[in-house]
Amino acid sequence: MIRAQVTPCWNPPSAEETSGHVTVLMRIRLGRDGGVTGLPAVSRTTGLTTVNGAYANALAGSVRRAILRCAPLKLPAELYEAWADVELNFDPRDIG
Amino acid sequence: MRKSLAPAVLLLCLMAGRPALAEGPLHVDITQGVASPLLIAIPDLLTGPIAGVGEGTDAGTALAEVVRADLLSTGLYHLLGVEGRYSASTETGLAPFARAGAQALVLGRVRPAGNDLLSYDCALYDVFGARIEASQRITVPVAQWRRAAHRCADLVFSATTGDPGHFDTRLLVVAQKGEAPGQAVRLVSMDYDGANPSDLTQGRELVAMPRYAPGSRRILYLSFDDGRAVLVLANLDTGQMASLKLPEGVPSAARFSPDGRSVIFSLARDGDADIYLLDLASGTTRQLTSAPGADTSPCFAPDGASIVFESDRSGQPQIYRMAPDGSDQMRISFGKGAHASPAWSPQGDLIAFTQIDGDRLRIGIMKPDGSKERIITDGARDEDPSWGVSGRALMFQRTVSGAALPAIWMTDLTGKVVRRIATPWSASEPAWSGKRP
Repeated sequence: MIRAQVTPCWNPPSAEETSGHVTVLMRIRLGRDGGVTGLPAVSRTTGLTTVNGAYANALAGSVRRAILRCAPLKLPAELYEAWADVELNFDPRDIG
Repeated sequence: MRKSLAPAVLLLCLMAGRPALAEGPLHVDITQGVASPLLIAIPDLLTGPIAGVGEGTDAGTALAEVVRADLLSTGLYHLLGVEGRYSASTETGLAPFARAGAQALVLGRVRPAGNDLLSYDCALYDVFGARIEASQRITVPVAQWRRAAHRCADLVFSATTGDPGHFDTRLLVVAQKGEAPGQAVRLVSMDYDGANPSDLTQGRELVAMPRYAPGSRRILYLSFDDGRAVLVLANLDTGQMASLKLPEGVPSAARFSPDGRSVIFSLARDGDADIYLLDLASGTTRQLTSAPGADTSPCFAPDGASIVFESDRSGQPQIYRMAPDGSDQMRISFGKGAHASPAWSPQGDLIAFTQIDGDRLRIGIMKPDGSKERIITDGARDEDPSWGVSGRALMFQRTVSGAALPAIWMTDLTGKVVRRIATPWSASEPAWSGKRP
């Protein structure tokens, strides 16, 4: 449900051979209206190498834009407790 | 019954593959996205005319036009027009751009900075996050105002793609101002987009195969003085020029090593061409290939650990790879037709080449082991690829069907975004510089 809403908003930078496999984990808090509370922050980046720092930054920027662009998320109000605190793991592995 | 089940089902949907009773935040994996151009707005921030900037247009408009042209030429951005006039002297709200769907916004404020300088405050905004992602104050001589815009575009490009931008760069070409082939040939350098051309040679001698050293201030080219070919090394800052001392023979296809300290080239003698390496400091040369057949067009990998070159030892030109000392030579091109003029990308991940298929020449790219070959241009005669420092664009020479003389074209790696570099004369053999200092 969250994935279906965020996926179309994510426009990752195109990867190259040297980009490696970087993933970005973002933790966000959502209000009852589905809006993001505060600014989304990167909580973990994996796959960093000595040569892909700039790509990883661009990837993190695309992730931040995706979340903000998609908000407010449309989620069932009766389950707010379950989605108030979300960890989104952005992994470009299936992007063609 | 149905009603009481619904929340549980929804909860399962939310969890998507995670044990339903896990502690902590809800974890969601996003592994797909939409690889589409970034929606970007680059409005004119009006500031009034500045003498020497643009041609009578508002200076803010003149610079914004260059930034837009730079970014659009990569195929990675989709430009959004937003109604309204914006001024450099007032705050620009993000709301209209967010409503238009822009994900990124570039605001550039230009003003005279005294002493014939101008300053350009370039900022990239994340429209939805309402924050600045990258910004820079760029100060240049007024006469070089286009460079300020190119550097702003470089900032935006590197912040959004992770690769260095290729906009504040120069392009070296062999220009021909006359009609008949071989007439009034000069070496001309210009901005990558064709602006600000300047002649480096005066047309007295034939010149060919120019190359930049890493950066943009030293060049190499072949000069035919009295019919004899010499390799000339020129420093564009000091104006110093020197012919390189080489062993007996006809040199061609010279390039710098990635550290700029050596020159690798092909030398023909007794009907056989081989690859040589010249150490610039000591002047010593070393022969790297000796197989029968013409070995030419050598190019180092950016890490200096391998060399690619072209050889017809198999009967037709193909691309080979070897260690920097000439050992471990092996053929890597096995696609359709012959393969020539290999050029290693600045990121090291691809090799561009000219594919020769019958009388048709086209530009292709492949991985450094020769796999994943892809032909990306579709002209009648496309040759001599040269990489931009971004590793995401190539310049090449195109002779349109029926035309006698070529021009320089630029393409992205998909081949979908192709355009001619505007020059008032015909041009060939492009060499694209690294970043300008």
